Amino acid sequence: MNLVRLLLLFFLIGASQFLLAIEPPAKIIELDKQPAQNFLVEDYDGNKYELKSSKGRWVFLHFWASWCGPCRKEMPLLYKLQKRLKDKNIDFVLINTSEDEDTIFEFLGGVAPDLHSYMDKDGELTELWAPRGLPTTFFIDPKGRRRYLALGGRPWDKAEYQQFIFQLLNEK
Amino acid sequence: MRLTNLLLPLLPLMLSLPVNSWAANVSQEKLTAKGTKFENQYFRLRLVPRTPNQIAAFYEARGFPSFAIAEVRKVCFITVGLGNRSKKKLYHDLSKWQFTDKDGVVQRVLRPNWKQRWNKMGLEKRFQSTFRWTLMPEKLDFYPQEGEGGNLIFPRTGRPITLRTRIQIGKNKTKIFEVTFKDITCAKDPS
Repeated sequence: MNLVRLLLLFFLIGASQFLLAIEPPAKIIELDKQPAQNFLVEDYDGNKYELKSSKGRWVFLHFWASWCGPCRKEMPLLYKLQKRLKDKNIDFVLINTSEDEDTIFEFLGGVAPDLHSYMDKDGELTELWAPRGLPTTFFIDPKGRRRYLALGGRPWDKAEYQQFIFQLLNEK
Repeated sequence: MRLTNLLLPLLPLMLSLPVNSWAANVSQEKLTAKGTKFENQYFRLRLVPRTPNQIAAFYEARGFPSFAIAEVRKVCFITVGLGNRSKKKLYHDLSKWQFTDKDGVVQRVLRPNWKQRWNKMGLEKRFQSTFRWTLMPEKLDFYPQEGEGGNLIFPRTGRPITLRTRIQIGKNKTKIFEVTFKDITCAKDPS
């Protein structure tokens, strides 16, 4: 009888682990938790950001360019998502690949004026991170590890994507 | 009866099989696309030949200097779109694609050639980076439902090109498709 109880207990523990496991939505890929390489970028006003300054917080690291169609479509959704997660334990770090101040300013002004982006002026940082294409988003966990990768532009306004991010933020 | 005695008569048959077929069943299909598009249940592949004006307009809008625009006008751009429709990984490797015209093999203008060319011309690093991002990845494993694309660049000869593409699907790359696109011509500007 004790054996049955023990087995039942193991089953319940296993089932709860299964239910608690984060199931990423479509086109979000789980990565191998490699440490994310630190970097330093600037925005067009000269404000600096260093990845290691986000230690203890999640980082939504997004590479984009104004010439890529899906980036255009995604920007307003990113802005809404950023607003929704404003007071949460996550930093939004947008990095433009290889474009100049005027292009970035003009583009963001047209699609999401309150969105802020840093610049990878010569494209070397983007190459180092090797996104599969543009746009690409990496989720870096509070321990500074690459945890998830979003392929292309994602519908961040959809419940399943927001739920996924909230699950990450609640991760113990 | 010893196992070796049992297997010995089968040895010639085993040796006649390709090595990878011992591990898994490999299937290979040779297909021909109608026009510039192909799709089946596993992937979709699309080619779009670009006119010099289209290419020039694209890079001009990105602020490329006139000497770089003149350079891209000289060559033939074909934009490739590849999407994985399967539930398995799709393996793409441009080194396994073949490009021919009536005179034989057509060599693409490759990334190192562009790097050399751009450095010689003094094209800023940021433009070189943007240019690289517009090229078709040389090698990429596509996740289920992932789509990527980019340009293939050829010398502009005026002769139609036949592209024999090769796509592999599945963990052990056991499903192989060779899709041939015949007589693809470089697009010209309307006169």
